[in-house]
Amino acid sequence: MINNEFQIGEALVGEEPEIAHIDLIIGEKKGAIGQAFVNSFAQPRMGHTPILAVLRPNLPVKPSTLIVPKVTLRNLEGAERLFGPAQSAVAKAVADVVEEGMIPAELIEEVAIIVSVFIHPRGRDYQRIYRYNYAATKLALRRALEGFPNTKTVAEEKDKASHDMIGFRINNLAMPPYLGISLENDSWIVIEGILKSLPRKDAIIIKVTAPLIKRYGVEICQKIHQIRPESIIISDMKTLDTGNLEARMAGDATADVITFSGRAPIKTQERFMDECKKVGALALMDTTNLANPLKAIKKLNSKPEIVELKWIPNKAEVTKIKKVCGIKTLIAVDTDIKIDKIKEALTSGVDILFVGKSITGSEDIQRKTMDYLDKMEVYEVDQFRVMTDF
Amino acid sequence: MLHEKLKNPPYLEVAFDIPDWRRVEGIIHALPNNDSIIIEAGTPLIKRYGIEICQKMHQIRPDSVVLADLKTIKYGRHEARIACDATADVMAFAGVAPIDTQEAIIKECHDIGILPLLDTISLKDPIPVLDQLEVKPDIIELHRAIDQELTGTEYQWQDIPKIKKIIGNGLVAVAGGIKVPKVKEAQNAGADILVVGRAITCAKNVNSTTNAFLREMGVL
Repeated sequence: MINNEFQIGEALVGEEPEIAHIDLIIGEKKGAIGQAFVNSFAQPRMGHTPILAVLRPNLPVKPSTLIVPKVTLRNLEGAERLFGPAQSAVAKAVADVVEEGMIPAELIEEVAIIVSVFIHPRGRDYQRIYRYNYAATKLALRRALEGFPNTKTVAEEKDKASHDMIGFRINNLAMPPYLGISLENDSWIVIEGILKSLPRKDAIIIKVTAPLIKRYGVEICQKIHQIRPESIIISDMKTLDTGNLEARMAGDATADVITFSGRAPIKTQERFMDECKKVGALALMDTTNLANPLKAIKKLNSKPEIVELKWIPNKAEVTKIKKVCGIKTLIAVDTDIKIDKIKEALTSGVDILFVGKSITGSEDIQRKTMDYLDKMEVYEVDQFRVMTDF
Repeated sequence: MLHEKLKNPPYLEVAFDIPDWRRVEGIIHALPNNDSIIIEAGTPLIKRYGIEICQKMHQIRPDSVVLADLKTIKYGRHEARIACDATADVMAFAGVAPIDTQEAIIKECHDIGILPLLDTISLKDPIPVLDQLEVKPDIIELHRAIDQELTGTEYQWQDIPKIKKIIGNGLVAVAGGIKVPKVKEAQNAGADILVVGRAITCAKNVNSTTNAFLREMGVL
């Protein structure tokens, strides 16, 4: 039933403030769990006294379950919330899981459970505290025993997930195509206006072009993130020398993608890509005045995650680049592409379309952007998903 | 059409590629007051703080020529403008940029009264590029990239007289890890401007190191 001594589960159920958040570990008494159980039991800390889960006083549940409060208990009210509804809800959940056969009856003396319980100090409604903690414990326990989530689920969901406390996700361009808006040499007031006119769409990414960086400094990336925290920002450094230094500066300024020139010395390009990995950014190779990008890429030991071309490639060219750089490499086109060319580019396998003045110089920026997105037929991440907890 | 302040070579160009203004400010203050010194705002410094850094340098040393090392490869005229707006005297662009971009930069620089400098970084041979350009830059910088210093790439100084001829007796600068013992060799090869970066900016005693360069160059 249990792999590698212990298994871990997590679940969040309910509405604020009574919302229940459970983290739990179930494992063999003979192993680490047994030790942790006994240690925690014997060494209570102020405000975090561990208690046994009981169905009612004088009736502890089996397998033995230790409840550890996450929030410091400062007064009797807090203690009552934990000792009353939460304590019995956790016990009921464990007992039900045993009855359902997920924990075999003959093992109940072999294993122990540690449950970390969150109860908000402003939670008042015992009904809710009880039901939410019951549900969350049951769910967390089932997840622990089933080894949820598996690798496939994590890989698929990581690019869709957005944590409620952050409100946006680190988007590593996993769901092309994207529409890149190139911000060119305008004053900050104009840039701010453009940013506010752009619709809020997952498929929009923002490129801060080199003149803008040189005019205002790379910190402009962070200023843009303050206005659009959810957007990918490409810092168009077009680095020709001091690769690691420039990549680091852009990374520190919260850039998600950083560009280097394919005309830079090989050493510069390689140091640049190394540094991008260190700061968690993607490297984009700019092919300005590079007659044969494929030849340049072949010379590199490490390959860029994105290759930006100055023309709309055909299918064969895209395939060739992806063959050399890896199948996941994204192909971007920086031609200030017009709407009637979108289909052609997407059919060839282009992942990112950069548009400059065609959008930023138009009278109605929002409408124009929507025209592009409609033509690209892109939807929001999870737009049609009916989501509860999963 | 050389800048009045660049008519008497040789010059020592101190390149600031440390992207930290507080340190840069301290080093500029420590430099000796000498007309042969040119201040360069390095690419990382500009990208970090923005081009206004040139004006801040001018505020500390109003008399010095300030060079904005933009290494422009695209959006040529825009970048020439922002350099000029920020009081730069010289603007550096990349010789690997498309020819029409380079020509646009040179013309724009001449229109607005700053000097265009062609940086040969990552350019195997600058002469074919110079030949192609309809208008020539006033300064050529023969540049061995910092990342190439690590691989020990050799300097390419043998063509300096030829280059000077093509650009109509403009100036030639040499850059990339130059130290005091290398000064004479560079001058003998025909260099007018010696670009020195960390040999001065990361020296313990900035003032005396700079003076050592100036003395070796014969201007002190």
